[in-house]
Amino acid sequence: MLRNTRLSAALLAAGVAAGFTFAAAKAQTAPPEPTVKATKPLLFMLLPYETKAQLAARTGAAQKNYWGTWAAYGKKLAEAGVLAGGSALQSPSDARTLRTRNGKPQITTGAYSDTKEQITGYLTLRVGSMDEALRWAAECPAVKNGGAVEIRPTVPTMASDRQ
Amino acid sequence: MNAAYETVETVARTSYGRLVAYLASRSGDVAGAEDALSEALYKALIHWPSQGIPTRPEAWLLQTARNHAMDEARKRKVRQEAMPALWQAAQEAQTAMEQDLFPDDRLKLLFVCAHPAIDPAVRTPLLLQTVLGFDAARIASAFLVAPAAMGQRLVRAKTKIREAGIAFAAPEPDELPARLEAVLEAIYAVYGQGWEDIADTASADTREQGFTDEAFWLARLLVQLLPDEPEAQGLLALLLYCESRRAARRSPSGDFVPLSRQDSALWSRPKIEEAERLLAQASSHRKLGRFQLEAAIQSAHTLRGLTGKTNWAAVAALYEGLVQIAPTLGGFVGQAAAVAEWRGPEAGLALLHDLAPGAVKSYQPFWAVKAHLLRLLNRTDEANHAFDLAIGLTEDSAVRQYLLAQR
Amino acid sequence: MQYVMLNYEKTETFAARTNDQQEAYWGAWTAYIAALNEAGIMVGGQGLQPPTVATTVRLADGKRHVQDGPYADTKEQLAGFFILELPSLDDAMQWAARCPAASDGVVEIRPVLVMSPP
Repeated sequence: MLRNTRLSAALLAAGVAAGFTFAAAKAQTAPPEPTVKATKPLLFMLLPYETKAQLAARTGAAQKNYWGTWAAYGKKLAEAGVLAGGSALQSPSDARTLRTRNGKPQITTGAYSDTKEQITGYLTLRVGSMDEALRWAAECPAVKNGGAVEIRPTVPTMASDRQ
Repeated sequence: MNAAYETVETVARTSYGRLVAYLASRSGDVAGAEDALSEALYKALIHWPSQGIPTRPEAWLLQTARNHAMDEARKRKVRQEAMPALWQAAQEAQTAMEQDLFPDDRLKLLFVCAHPAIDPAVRTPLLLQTVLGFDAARIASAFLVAPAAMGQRLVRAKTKIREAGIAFAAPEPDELPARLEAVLEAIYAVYGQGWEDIADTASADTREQGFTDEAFWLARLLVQLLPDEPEAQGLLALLLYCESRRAARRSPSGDFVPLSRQDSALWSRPKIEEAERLLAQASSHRKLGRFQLEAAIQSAHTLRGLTGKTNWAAVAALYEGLVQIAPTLGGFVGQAAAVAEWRGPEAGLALLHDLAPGAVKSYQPFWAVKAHLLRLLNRTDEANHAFDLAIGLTEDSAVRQYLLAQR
Repeated sequence: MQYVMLNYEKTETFAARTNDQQEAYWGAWTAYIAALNEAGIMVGGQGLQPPTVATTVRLADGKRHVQDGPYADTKEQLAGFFILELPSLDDAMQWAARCPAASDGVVEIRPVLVMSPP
């Protein structure tokens, strides 16, 4: 179940909850054959940056379309066997930011970056190259609807993922 | 410039606290008293540095508060009588000031802030706000809470004081020890917030220095208001011992220096002497308590400055007394460290082993002591694991660097 | 409740991954990760390669636009993240304060939108 009950009800009504389940995609025991065979799979992180308008579409009249588009994207990645993990994040306004000023912690409400678009989730992809990651990123709903996606290779030595 | 500003700020916060205490103890409404005076405190902090401190600071604040309230009432077209109890109290305060009979009700306010009905986690923030007038945002960062959330918690606590009708009175003698301990703990926590602010001594803006000064101010106030309470003296002595080592806690290049490696020549003699006097005074009451014991432990450490070595048997014995009176995790870990110095690392480790794993799992001092003792015993793998946890749990980058170098 | 902890670092801190500071840099992170694991709150996480090797994709005038570098040109840049299972935001802030990035960078805490099959 979605922990956020308001969204949960909305999602179930829209019938997309099962589709937009990266956790479930992750748990698939036998992923379908990858579309692009990677000789040496690498882990890339996709960071979707979305506009205020895109964030607003998470609730209200546009939500069915918003979540449906993301669910379809997640499903596509999972079926291609490239999805390693990911999650949507709550709104940047629900974030807290901590930094040290003059040796003391300082906490502010809201996200770190005050850029026009904001990080709204993350995806990790297991693919063969940056180019392949880029091809997947171009299909991301964040890009299609006016936002952007940043792609970054991960640090293998720091892999703390317990899987 | 900064010293002058500090004087203004001290006078302004003292007067503010006295007024809030007076008004709240008569109206039962802490939030109302703060709301009425916050604008006046703000104006005082802006105007007094250039215009000078008024002869009667409380009267100035009260008059400014009343003028502001009348302006607001005019703007919102509401009558000032909307807060009758508060403004009646303000009227009485004015009369009392004119006759030089204005009482100090801050002790009552301290006991209300640390009342058993108030969530322990919010007692110290409440005290900082009501007695000293600090805003929620500044308190929030010190307590690692978002400003809005801290604001809500403070509002809830004040609503509870009003709605539960918590009495503005000093506790009955039979309740006093327990109630006083809560007040002392809250003040000690204020000092704890300032403890890691050592990097700030070089900072130009002394107002950013955390709450160390405020803790001293409150501890001194308590000693002054309760001259016959040895625990109040014990707390002030404890703070003075800790503070006496401020200059020795970091090397010239800013590196962390543990107590055992500190150059005792850098310890402040006047602070130590004042602490010794207070502790002697406290012990003359023949009523031992947690804070006197904590101060006595620091006093024992201070002796190294005279004798050149630490009497670990004495420190261990004091810790044993402390954990019997106040069984805190910090006390037990301190005891283990002292016993290890006295009787060897195995004895210290055995004491650490007795602590509940769930309680120490994320307690940094436990892992720091454990790592040190395991290292002494050449149990390398276990020591490295303990070092990792001690490093990973620390919030202070100088301590982190020190432990990384030890690992 | 799951929270994501986003760690932002300065350019100098990214440099410390490979220069003479690297032992202290990786030592601090290894220790922090050990503490998260020991506390039983670690769900997952990943370190990222520096922003210099990032690529950003967006649509401009209906055309796909690929640029070198990260999306944001903020002073600190995303260096990695953790997913943590914690009872409250206060606990998350406590762990944020212990994070090596809190000392000379920025740590952002954001609740995760958790979704699992109904």
